[in-house]
Amino acid sequence: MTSYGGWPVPVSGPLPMAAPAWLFHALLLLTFVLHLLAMNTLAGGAVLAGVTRLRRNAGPHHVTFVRRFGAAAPVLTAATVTFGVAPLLFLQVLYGRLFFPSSIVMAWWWLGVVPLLIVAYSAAYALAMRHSLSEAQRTVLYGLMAAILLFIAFVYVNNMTMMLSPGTVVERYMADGTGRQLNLREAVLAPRYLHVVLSAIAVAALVLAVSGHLRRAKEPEFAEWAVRFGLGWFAAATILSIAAGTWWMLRLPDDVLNRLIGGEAYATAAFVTGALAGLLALGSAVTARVRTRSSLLVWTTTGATLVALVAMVLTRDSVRQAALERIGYAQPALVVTQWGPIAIFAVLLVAAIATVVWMTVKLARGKLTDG
Amino acid sequence: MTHSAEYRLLGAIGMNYPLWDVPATGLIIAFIAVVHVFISHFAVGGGLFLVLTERKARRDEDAELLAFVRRHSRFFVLLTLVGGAITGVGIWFTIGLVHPQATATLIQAFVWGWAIEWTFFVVEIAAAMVYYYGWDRLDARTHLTIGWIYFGAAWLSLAVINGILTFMLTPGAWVTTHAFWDGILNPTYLPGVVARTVGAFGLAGLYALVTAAWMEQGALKQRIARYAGLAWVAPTGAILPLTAAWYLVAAAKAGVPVPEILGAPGGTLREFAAATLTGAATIGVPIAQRAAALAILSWVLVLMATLVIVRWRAVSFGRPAAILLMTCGLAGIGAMEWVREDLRKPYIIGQVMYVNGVWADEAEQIRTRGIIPSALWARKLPSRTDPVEAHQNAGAEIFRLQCSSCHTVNGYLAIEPLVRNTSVTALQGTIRRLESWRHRRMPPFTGSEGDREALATYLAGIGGASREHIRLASAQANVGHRLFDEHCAMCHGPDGDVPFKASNRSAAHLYELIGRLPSINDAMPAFEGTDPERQAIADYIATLDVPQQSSIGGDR
Repeated sequence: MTSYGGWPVPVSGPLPMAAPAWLFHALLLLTFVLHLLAMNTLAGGAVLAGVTRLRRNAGPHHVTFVRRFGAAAPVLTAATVTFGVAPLLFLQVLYGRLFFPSSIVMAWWWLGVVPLLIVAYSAAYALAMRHSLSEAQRTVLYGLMAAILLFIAFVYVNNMTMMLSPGTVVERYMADGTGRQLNLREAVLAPRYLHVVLSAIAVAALVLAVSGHLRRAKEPEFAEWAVRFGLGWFAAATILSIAAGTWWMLRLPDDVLNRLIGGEAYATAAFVTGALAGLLALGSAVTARVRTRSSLLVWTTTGATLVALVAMVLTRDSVRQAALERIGYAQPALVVTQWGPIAIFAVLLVAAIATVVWMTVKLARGKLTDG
Repeated sequence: MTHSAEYRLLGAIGMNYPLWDVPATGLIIAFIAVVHVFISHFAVGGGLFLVLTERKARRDEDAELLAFVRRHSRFFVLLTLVGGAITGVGIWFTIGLVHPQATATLIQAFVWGWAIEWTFFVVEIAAAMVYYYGWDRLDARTHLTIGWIYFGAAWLSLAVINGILTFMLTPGAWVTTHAFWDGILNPTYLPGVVARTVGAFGLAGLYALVTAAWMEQGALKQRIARYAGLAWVAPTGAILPLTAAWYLVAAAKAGVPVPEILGAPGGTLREFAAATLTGAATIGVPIAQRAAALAILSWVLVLMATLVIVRWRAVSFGRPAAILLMTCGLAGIGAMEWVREDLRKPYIIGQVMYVNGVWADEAEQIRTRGIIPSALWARKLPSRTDPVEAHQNAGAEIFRLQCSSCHTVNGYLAIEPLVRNTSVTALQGTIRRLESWRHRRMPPFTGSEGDREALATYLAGIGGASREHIRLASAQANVGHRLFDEHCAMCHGPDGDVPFKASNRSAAHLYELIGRLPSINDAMPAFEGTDPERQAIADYIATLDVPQQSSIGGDR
């Protein structure tokens, strides 16, 4: 049983919050969703590509898929990291007093994410740019990338669960403050990790199906294959993910579980929406495998998955809030909103999005010339 | 193991977070940060280099030069995206582990600054990729525009981060107003951003030389070498010392004792040269002085190497030259960043928070209450009946909480050589005066009298003092001997740097000298005790005509 218990938490400093907590909270959730989309595609895709590389009876479409994933891997990594730093920032603003201590308990593991990411990123570029690699070398690189990303996910799940358990943090720190520990005794660790990894594979498989389907005019055969293959993986991963998620729920403390199944409006709404949307996505995916040319089914699966993803992020958030309430964690009362910098940020954000969209459209529309 | 009320006390704010119990964690930040600065500043300058060189190549219809730019941009994108971006994130990870107190404070103050910087970062990353992938797909004008966008975003990102970095040294009006813009646009902001921009352009030239080093011998290689060397490295090399001087002057104006730290309290160039180049200074921060020397040396080597390449070796220079340039560039950047960090001592956030996380405002509170009750993450001390052991355990924990953020026992910035064969009373005296100790820019010791005693006991043990000596330390009868130990023995004791000899001087003469210590040697602090104490010391040291018996007990 996970215990939260009344442990002391670091006090907030003398400085006021630079904006009301709800604003940081909203930005945290929004940027985290973006990060998930990129990261799921990257990590789940790396697993799918790696597994596909190992198939003995790989057909031309398998090869095409893996090749395209390899070419996209650098961009996906850049997107994952770029959209990862934003929620990390807002997490530290809101929950730094819990996050920093738990990070320190597992300091070497946490820090290890950085060099591992460099290796994975380099592998992505090697796959995308070095055409002289042998088949064996390419397989190794895909495997390396997948293994590293799955490991990074494991490190993150340890930190995200440990930060909600200051009792564990104190006990572990007092036993050994050198930063070598993880949170392996955490009850929800295994199911949570399985659930997020399986969900990532599902999302990546869906991205494959959608990207194939979008090309159906130019590549009808690949499109059909992508929908069948992708949504097949999607369905399998989703079923397993639902099982892992159920296991996770059963490992939650009773009061938290109760919130999700009727005890608290926000938590229940999020969870039920996510669950229903997930089931809908599963149903339409299974059906789409039979009727592979149905755009309606592909888009239904996609839409339902996005809804499920967002709803599950909100569910995850409400589980976190429940833990914070148990701890007695409160945001500082003093808020001095920095309107000027916020306004500048808002304007620059719009400008940044517009600029990136413009550049991407230019590139996408650009015709191959002789340079 | 029970966690009772002692953990429930809300800690003083500055001792709020657990310490990562690994020696010299600051070096981890140093390593990742220096690598990141080396790559990221190149990313800024290199962006401009790419755009200007591409424009030149297209205007002159120079296919060879264009091909060079294209190859260079591939190397550029790989290095800046993989190396630069991830090490930047790496700094984020590391500072939260090594100094969560400062990190949390900076985030509270400047979260929107980081959010703003993020928007530039997003554009920068996207532009780099579009620039790289778009060589064959975009028309020339659009491609160049993308390059300009990249450079603009990269520079703006630097401009924002520079605000936070310079704030840490010279927070300016922020100390009283806590206003965002007062913090960002602080006294060293402008010289900081100019120095970094100039450095960025210099690095761009350096990297271009490195890329050219890998080219085959020939006319193009020669052209690139001359262009990079003469248009980029040489001018920035000439201007960089001026920008560095501007930065140091601005810091000094804002209250940072730059001359003292660099070992030149009189502010003369001769003193500065002596301190940095020959290590002759007895005051200031020795590592900062060594770093300044390394920075100057690296700068000279880079310029000389560039001159040699441009003048005589432009056609044929190769990997050894490239390695030399990169090594010197990295060493120079690292050295300059090291000096910058050391200028900030004893603070992590200037005037506001000491390096060990203690808020300046809170020092009195901690002195009253004591360190261990004030630290939320203090370890439970093992109970010991022997008072000496108990004292040493408390001292060890106090050392961990207040000193180990910089000092190890036997490794980096080792404390053992500094306390070797030093008595408990001498150490107590030094600890009491820590912040003025040889202008080393130490933070004041923020603890009670009992804490000071415990720490001194622990350190004396580290330095080899016997248990017998420690036991005797509190009972030392001879007042003059004890006062001498406390005030003077650190340097003038038998194991100090300058063992004292009376040389037939009378007690009256010595009494007079004690009254004007700084005029004898400006490394000595003025005597702060009472007249009777001054007399007692004079009486005692008048007897020191023969080599002293060590005041530390026999058995180790």
